[in-house]
Amino acid sequence: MDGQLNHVMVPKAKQDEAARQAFVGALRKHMQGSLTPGNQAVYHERIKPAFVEAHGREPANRQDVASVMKADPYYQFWSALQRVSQQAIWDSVTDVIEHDGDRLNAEADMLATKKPAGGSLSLNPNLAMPSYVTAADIHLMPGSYVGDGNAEMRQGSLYDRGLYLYIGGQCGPENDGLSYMLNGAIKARFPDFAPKRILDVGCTIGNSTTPWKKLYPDAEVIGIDVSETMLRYAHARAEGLGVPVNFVQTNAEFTEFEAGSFDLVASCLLLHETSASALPRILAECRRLLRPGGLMAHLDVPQVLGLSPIQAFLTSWEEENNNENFAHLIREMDLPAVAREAGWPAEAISQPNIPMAGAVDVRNYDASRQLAWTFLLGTA
Amino acid sequence: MNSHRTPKGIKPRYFADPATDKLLQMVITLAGELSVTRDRLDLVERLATKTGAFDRAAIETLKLTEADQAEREAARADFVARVLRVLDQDLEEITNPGARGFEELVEELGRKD
Repeated sequence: MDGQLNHVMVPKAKQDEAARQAFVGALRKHMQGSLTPGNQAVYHERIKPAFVEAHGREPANRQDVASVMKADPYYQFWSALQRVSQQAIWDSVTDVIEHDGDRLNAEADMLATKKPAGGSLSLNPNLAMPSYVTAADIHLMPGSYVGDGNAEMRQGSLYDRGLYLYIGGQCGPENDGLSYMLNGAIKARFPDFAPKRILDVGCTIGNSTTPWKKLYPDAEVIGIDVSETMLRYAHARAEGLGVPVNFVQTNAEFTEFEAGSFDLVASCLLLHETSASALPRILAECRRLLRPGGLMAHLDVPQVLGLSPIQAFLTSWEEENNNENFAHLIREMDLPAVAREAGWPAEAISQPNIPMAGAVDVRNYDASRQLAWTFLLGTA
Repeated sequence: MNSHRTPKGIKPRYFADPATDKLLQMVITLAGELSVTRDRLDLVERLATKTGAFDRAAIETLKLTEADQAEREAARADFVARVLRVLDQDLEEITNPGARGFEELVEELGRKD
């Protein structure tokens, strides 16, 4: 096992399976460290000069870059390797889940019965699954966030372990670093913020939910998602970790919670996996749920605006190649304008800058334009 | 290896010849399996040294039983299936056609109702 916390709901790999996962990790680390930044060098030394020669101007946007970069042999190999390694992650975890699924189910049954942490799970079997969840397998994870739509732990466990491998452990042993980062951004603006009731929207396996309870032990923390299989896993995981959280199956576009009943409504990397129809409805619902003085805080993938054409192109790889289809659109949206259309007053919405740590640029071509998380903040 | 493995969504091609895409996947899978084997061998040699279980010369003279042989054959078959798994995708596309394109998915997600 690597740096992931070996909690009871993590699939238990045999020796060769662990070695297979370690190899994928090594492959992706190599790519991130040297092959990915190499795209910048190839672009600036080979692609851009050829484009200027042919068009009499520099590439103006990511579409211009795509038109030439996709034909370059270096980029082709990098891109194909990205895809292969991404699929290899899920393969390497699926191997484990095939033999460990029964144990995971038994552990989850026990945890759901005993509830050692004191959390809860509330399901709604009649909830319709939004098409943006089922249209494609997001991140190429076979079965996406839904799986076979049953009570099995395999899908949640696949995501928990696969996510750790996908991000190379960069979000910590419990895959929960983004919530801490989001909280840091909130605290930078509102040092005295002390929410008593917190809603984590689109929580999947609850890895972004449990940290809120750790940060604010006196608060009631609720995680919502549309997927039963994710929530069942989230509940078992949280109970196994000893963190009391309540999970509810509902749609963030129209929840059943009372208006004005939360101090914080937060999400991590949810918005880019929704749709143009759902996005304004989610933002409006967040506003409805907040008490006066409450906060809406969403963390999401970098916007295109402010990036150089090559950065915009490289960061859009996930859209077409990793089934983050809506990211293709949301990254060019004016999010404060979407929030205003959804009913938020202009002065309540802001989009502060949170630089992404660890963005590597070989030869520092675009160091002046650092990748930044998208952070959408709304004050009720 | 019965689980569903091929992700739903578009299947991008990266090279002019689609065979290259498949070959790359095979090469990476092979590299992975070699890495796995080296890890295991490393473990065995360390264990053997630590416990004094055998000296290296014994590897050359050991006779395998029929059961040993069968176990090895099964492992080898699994290895070959793993390396060539990419070819199964062609068959899956034949039995389960109709994957929608990127533009179509974006258009659907971008549609306001």
